[in-house]
Amino acid sequence: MRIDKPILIALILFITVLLAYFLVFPAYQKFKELQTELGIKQAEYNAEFDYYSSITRTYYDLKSYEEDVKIVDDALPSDPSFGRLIYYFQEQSSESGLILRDLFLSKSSGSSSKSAVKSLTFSLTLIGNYSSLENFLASLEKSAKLFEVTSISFGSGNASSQGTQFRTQNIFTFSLQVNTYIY
Amino acid sequence: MDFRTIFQFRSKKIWWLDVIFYFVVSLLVATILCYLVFIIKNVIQKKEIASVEDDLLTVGTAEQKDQEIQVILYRAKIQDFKNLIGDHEFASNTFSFLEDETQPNVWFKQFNLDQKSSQVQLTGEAEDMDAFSRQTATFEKNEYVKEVGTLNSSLSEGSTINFNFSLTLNPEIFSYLTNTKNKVKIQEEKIVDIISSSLSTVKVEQEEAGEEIIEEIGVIEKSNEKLIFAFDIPLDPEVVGFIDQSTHTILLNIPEKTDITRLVPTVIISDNATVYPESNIPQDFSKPVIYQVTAEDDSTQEYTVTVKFYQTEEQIQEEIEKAKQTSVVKIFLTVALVAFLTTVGLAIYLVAMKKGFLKTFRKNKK
Repeated sequence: MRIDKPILIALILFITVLLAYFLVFPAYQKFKELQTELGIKQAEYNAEFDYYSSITRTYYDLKSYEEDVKIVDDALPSDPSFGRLIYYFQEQSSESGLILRDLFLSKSSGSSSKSAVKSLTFSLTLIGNYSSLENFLASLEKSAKLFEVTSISFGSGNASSQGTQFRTQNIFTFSLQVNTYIY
Repeated sequence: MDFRTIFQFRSKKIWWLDVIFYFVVSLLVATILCYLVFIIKNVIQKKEIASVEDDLLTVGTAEQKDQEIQVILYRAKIQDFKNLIGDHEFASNTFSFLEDETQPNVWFKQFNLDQKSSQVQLTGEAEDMDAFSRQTATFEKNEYVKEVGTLNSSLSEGSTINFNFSLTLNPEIFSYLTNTKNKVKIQEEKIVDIISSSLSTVKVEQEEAGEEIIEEIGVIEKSNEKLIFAFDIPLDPEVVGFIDQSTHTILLNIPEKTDITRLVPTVIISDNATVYPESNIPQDFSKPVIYQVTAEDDSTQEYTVTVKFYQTEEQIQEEIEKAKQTSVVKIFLTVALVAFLTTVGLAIYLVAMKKGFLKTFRKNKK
């Protein structure tokens, strides 16, 4: 059989163009994509490696500040430990010369999206004199655990005309609202 | 149009038509070859990607992931603690303020403080109207009183003045830095306690306290701690050494093309320990370098430091671009070369046929 060359040439050229367009070009595109993906993966690997290196370093930094981290843990414990809190209020009030008459948990707020800190609000009713209250407040403010007195009210029928203003031995009933925090 | 030309192509045997024919055939072969090359290259690259992905899975060990959780937790916790300490308010400051700003002939019966609104309600008694007016003026002039609100007064039976104040205080009064003319009764130790809660200041105090205790006891217990906590190279970006405390190895991930023959590492070690070679001394890291840490009790620990090169993102991008350009040029050249060589070969063959060289050659051979 005699082959008609010009037609054959055109046919082969056509097939070549088809192959180039439908096979070679997509394969080349895929090749480029894979090359980029490989580069990205390598960069990701390096970034991860650096990240974990710095994590390890920070971790050991934290360990070297163990004592200080403990202070933060004491100030923001992970559980409320109501038993210990009640004991603390009782102990501090008696050491300051006050009688703890009422104590109740009046409010408990959950953590927000910005912070994992939860606050607990206690209402305390204490009986004693003004100096004792001052001592009690000082002991709360000095405590390793964070306490914040948000409201204080007290009074008596008679003005304390002996001594200077509140500095008297008169017995008052103090109502306090105290905030503390857990994490 | 002259169709004789086309007819000529079809009927006449033209030698260069054969050349074109074989050129086109070789082009087809080259295209198929190209396709096969790309397929093979893609398979190889997929394998490389899978290998890097496997490596990625091994980067964070279980221990490192635990450390990551701890670090993230404490970072947030310390930040929250810092914010709480910054916003912490001291109600007792109000009493100090009142004690200092109250006239001697004025007494209080009732006291109500709402710290959130900085409001103080005071009910009391003044000796006379003059004392009451002076007390009002004192509050009004004070920098910590923003506003004197409700103000009631009435003459009592005993000729004293009963009054009622509502003060809006400046919130600064609750801050622990407030000194209300050195009269706030927050004891100094309290401030020290709170400041020392922040992470930066306590260390020195603890060290001093520790030294005092040691002196008192008279027994110095030598530490056996000999760890390298950090091993950094101050390059740009800074190279942080990855320390494996179980195998006592340190891996430095350094950008490619960095001169590692004179790197100056910063080494942070356990307290009272020493390290050799010392920190901040140039070292040649082209081979593994051994750092020996000696504890206070003279026990030692060796750490082997090795370097691994990596490509920065710019370098990777640059190489990708270069590789892209090179591969296109290579493919083009290969196709052209294959087509050219095939054509030349065929052309020579055809010319030889035409001139009857091959026939003569075959006859001679016979």
